[in-house]
Amino acid sequence: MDHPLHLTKDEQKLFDALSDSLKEGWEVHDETLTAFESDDVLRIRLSMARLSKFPPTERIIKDVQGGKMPTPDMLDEIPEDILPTFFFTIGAKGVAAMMWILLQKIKDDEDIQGLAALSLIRHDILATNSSINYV
Amino acid sequence: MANEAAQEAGPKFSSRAELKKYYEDTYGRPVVDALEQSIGDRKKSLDALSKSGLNGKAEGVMKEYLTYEQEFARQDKLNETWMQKGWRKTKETAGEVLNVAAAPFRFAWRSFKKHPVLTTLAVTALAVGGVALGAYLTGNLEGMLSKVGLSHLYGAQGASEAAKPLGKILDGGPSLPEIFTGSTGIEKL
Repeated sequence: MDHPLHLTKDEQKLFDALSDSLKEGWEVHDETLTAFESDDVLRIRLSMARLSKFPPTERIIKDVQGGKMPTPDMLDEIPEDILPTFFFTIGAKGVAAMMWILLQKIKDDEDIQGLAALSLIRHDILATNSSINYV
Repeated sequence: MANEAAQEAGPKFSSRAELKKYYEDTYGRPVVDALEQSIGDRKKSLDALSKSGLNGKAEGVMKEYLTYEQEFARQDKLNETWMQKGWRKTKETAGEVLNVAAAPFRFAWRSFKKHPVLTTLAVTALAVGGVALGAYLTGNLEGMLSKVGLSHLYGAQGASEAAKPLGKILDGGPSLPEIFTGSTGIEKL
């Protein structure tokens, strides 16, 4: 595969429990960075991004508040250029939450590809968090 | 909208210029000058702020300002990292320059679309950000969804799984990693 997975020890326990056929070909690296965001930092990132202000996002949120259930089609409407901002806003902590859920849902190689992608995104966020500290 | 109320409590800044303007309008130019020193020399900045009439508020004002500056700097650095890796790039289509996200973001997003629980959480995160995910993991998603006008998701057919604390998704599921324990901060929204 193109990229390894960067997993914490806890995550590796879940990954190790997957079938050998699912794990085949995937390389796992230890995620040792721990610079997860505080709740204050996440609130500040949310206020910086104002994700709900992007027109497609605003419409989706209105639809869901109006009673619609979230669907994959709604996520298709989110412009690609928002995605880096989305992941920065939810932070390494938010990405880790998504990874923890996905680890318990893995059924095929596509899921592991998604997990690997999330682990790379989280690794970069953690590295950036640990390299800049003013507070 | 409920999520507007949740998000609009307190000042919000989407750029350094907005940040500085707010502090200048609220506290005056000398305070902004002192705050700008705080990244390099916190003590000197605090001394200057204390003399500028902020009295007991100086430390809190400086901490908030520094946190914003820190997060703008982190965002700039992360964008640069992802640009260098080719994860963010621009392309020109019909004379229009567009920003596009590359494979890692697309693969991650595809996972969110594939699993209903992640779809629900991604939409919730769009509405209320990263704190929603902490609320989910610690079992406070119901309260969070209620705050932002999405309470119908809780217990609705097909979404009940999304509203359970993660450890209960699977019987005997693993305990939460340490980073998710403790306050989720939702009361501060």
